[in-house]
Amino acid sequence: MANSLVTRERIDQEVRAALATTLRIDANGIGMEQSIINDLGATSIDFLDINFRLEQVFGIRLASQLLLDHVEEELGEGTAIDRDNKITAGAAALLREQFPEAESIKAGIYADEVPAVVTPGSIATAVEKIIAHLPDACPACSAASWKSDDSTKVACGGCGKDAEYPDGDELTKRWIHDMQREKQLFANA
Amino acid sequence: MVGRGRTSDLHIRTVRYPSAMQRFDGKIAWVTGSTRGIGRAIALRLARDGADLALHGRSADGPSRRLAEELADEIRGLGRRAVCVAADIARKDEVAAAVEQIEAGLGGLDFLILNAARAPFKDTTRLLERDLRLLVDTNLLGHLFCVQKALPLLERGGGRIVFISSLGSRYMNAQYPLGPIKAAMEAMVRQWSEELRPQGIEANAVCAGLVKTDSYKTLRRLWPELAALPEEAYVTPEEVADVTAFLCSDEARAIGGQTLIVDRGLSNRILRSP
Repeated sequence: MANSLVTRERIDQEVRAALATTLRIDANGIGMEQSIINDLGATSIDFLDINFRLEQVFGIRLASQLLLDHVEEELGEGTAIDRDNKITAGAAALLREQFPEAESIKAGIYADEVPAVVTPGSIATAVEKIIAHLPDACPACSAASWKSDDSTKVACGGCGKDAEYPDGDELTKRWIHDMQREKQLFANA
Repeated sequence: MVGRGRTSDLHIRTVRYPSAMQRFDGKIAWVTGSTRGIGRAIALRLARDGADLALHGRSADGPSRRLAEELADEIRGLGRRAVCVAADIARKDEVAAAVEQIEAGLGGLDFLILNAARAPFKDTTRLLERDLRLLVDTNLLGHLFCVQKALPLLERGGGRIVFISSLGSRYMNAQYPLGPIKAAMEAMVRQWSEELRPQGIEANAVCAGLVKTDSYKTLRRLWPELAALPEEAYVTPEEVADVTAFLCSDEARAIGGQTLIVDRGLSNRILRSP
């Protein structure tokens, strides 16, 4: 569960709604494991719209940059994508950690092929990871109770202020460093 | 010399078209990046004014191709010819091939509208080398390649070049590294105007204000305050297209190397030059 007030089922529902609105397709026909690009016909620009809608619904900030861009900013240029625009072994291993179902991810594929592995399910997971960081207590009034009228946006039960979460880019950077410490995926980083 | 109170035929030349004619009948335009947004609106405007169109997207397949084909059908429905060309303008060989296709498909070129753009949204100090190369290769070199390769066609009949710029060329916007490149391109337009005038070609630019196109989807995430702006602060793609068409027209014959700002006065009211 993302947090006690927002369920994964609710997140899935909102992800389907955002996709349906952006892509003008029937929400009921969207499978959570479909490729948003290959199966649902989205372009890279559509992701901006989808993310924006989810950010408005849940009061969060999803990552604005691609995972491999974050890797290169954090661990050095060339660590994730080589000069031929192909992904490195370390990048492939990291992507498989994030997208375990994506069998097409292998070292040597073109970086442009990576976005096709994003599914409604992986976007829902990204939302879930952010809202799992609901603080124990409200930073503004220290009240330790949260409420949600619609099971999407969460507010403090004391002062009513909207919950603040770490943004997706920040969490991604932390995760990359955690993975690197734990698994040493990038040899020269 | 024209005396005070006198008018000269040169200055009051009135452009009239026979009623059945459109002002761009017989003209051929290439609009780069014309599958959506401002480029699409420009292509439609020029077609409605009588021009035949070369439409352009970066990919030869996928959604971009589908959008180009749909627009081509719409333009053909207006009674104009339309061809679709795919090219990464950052690659000179692909630009050359696109120009060859345009000549083969439409027989020439009169208007080159440099609208395609592609850029990361992040602070300049965080740009990776490939971000920088994408930025410069597409948004500076790419336009130069288009002009270089289209020149032999544009020279045939007094061509017009219009570059589509944005307010980032003159006002700093966070995480918008395209702005400085747009500024360089506005300077390039001034260069082209002088260099190409002897060949009968004129170059100008249109600097668009806030437009609700695809890049707006990114900008509203970067600058949430955009949401607070009233609707009248936004320019429509059609308004940018109207001014672009004007710069292609004979009515604009006395304008050279200039950048016309099309922002409903937004920069005049809120953003002030130093």
